[in-house]
Amino acid sequence: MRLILVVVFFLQIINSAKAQSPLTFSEVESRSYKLYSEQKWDSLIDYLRAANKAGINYYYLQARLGAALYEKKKYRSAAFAFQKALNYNSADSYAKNSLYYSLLNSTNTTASRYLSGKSESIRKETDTLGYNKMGFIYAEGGVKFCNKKEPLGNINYFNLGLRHSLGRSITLYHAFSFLGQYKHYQQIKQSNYYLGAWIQLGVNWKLCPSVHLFWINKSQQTEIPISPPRPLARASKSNEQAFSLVLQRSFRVFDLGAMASYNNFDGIKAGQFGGYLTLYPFGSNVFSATTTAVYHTRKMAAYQTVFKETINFKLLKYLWLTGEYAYGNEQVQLQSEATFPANNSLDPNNYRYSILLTSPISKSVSLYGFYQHEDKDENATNVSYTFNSIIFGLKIKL
Amino acid sequence: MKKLLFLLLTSNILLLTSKAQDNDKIALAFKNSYTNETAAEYTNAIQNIKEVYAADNYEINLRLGWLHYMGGLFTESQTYYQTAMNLKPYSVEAKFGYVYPAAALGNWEQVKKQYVDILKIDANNTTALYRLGLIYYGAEDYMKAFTNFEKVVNLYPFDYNSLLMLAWSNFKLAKTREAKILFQKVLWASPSDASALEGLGYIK
Repeated sequence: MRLILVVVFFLQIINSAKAQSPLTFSEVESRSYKLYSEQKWDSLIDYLRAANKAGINYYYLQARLGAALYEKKKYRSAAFAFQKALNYNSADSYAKNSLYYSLLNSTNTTASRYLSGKSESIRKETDTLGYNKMGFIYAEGGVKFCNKKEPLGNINYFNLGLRHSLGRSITLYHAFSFLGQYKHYQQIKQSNYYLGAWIQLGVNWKLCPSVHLFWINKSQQTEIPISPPRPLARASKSNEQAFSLVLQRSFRVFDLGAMASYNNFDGIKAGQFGGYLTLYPFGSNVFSATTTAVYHTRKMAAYQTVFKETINFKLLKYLWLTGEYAYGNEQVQLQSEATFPANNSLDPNNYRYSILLTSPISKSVSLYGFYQHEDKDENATNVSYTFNSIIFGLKIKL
Repeated sequence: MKKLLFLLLTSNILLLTSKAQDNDKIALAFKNSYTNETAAEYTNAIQNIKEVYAADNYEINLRLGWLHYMGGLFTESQTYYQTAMNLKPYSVEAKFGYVYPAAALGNWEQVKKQYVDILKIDANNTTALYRLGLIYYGAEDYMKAFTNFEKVVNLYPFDYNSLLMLAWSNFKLAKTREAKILFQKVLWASPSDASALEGLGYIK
């Protein structure tokens, strides 16, 4: 028994020594080429990553790594490998085209379009695929159900959005939305126009400014609310604005963003400053998790620091789920292509959570359903109430 | 005093003798390495030189750079060529050597850098001008390619390769009149040249 243990012990030392013997270029080149030719993608990825850690790096290593990651559908990681390959050989059309398709397949269409603008060869080969001036149309509508119909009321909502590009570096998103709240003693109608932009500053940098304009019409109150006693509100019109700026840098398995926003909701000027980290642990969009922290400048207890967690993953072959939980009152949300980018309600959120289900029903059309629960406190009375929103939408690729 | 002189003389003789012996060793190592290289025994050729290796010897590092390249050990080859370049920064020869393993590794940015550095030392080096022109042409940077090929043609007006590439660069820059003249000159140097005929075909 002792002899067996001794033998096993020495074998482990030998194996350990073998594993630690330094890799040489010729070994890496011949073995990686063999694995590449045999299309053993998992082994190739592990081997090339080990070689890279051992200090061996050159064009073909990164190009083969990119190819293996691409074959495994880890498009995000593949994109970074091809970028490294291009650092060694900036004119290489294989690496350029592969980078383009990796970005496109990881749904980073703004970056892929930006890249096509930098390369005539990509434009020639891919113009029918990646670049179209008109992007998407969104149409969505729904109801926010309030649990306290007196003195509050449900809100009807409708939104029409259009995404299109301006050249190859800028993508714009326009949204026209309408909200109507019908309390039995007053009506509030709000029209919004939202304009957001994604400006691609490089393959891995995005700048996202936005402006959100609100036109609010309140009718004359027909009776005094139950509590507390206050004079009848007159009919009024007001305009509000919100501006935001997000700067995002992409890395292989995560995005890092910083944001700042300004709004004049309720006639009070306020700002939000914060940042977010989005993780892509599998090197693709199959699963991502975003943690956001935002600080409010509005000095009221209701406007504390906001923490938000968002996860996004592929639930089934044709079904994507996005779940979100936000603690605190986030007045201006980070850019999103649907739902409300801004919450200009007088009544702040304590917390909210939501679920978005998206299903592509064809190459051009996706359907989505959105549910959100908001826990709020009424501004004047501090009475707690909730909104449960149900929204359905359609996204059509043009 | 006599003793001191005697000591100085002895030590100088010893030093000269030792240096002569080193020189003989190195010369023999190089000779053996050539023999092994001719027989494609690159590992043995490398070993010959490594037996006399000195990190501050330019020629030894240059030789090892070449032998490692021939043996397919491209990253090691780059290391030795880099050492040679560090020892003699104005050596165009070492930079041209470095280009071989860099190109084999697909590291064309490093290749381009060497040619640019060569041209800083020797602005009219036609090999570097021509090869750099090819890199720019491949990268579709036709203006830079044109500049390089034009310099070569100015120095060697009837050189086939550079005339042809200058013609194509002109064509890509939509200077069809100049391209036509150049393609016709290429045909003087190489009658029935397929590439020149193709270019003329596009212009007609």
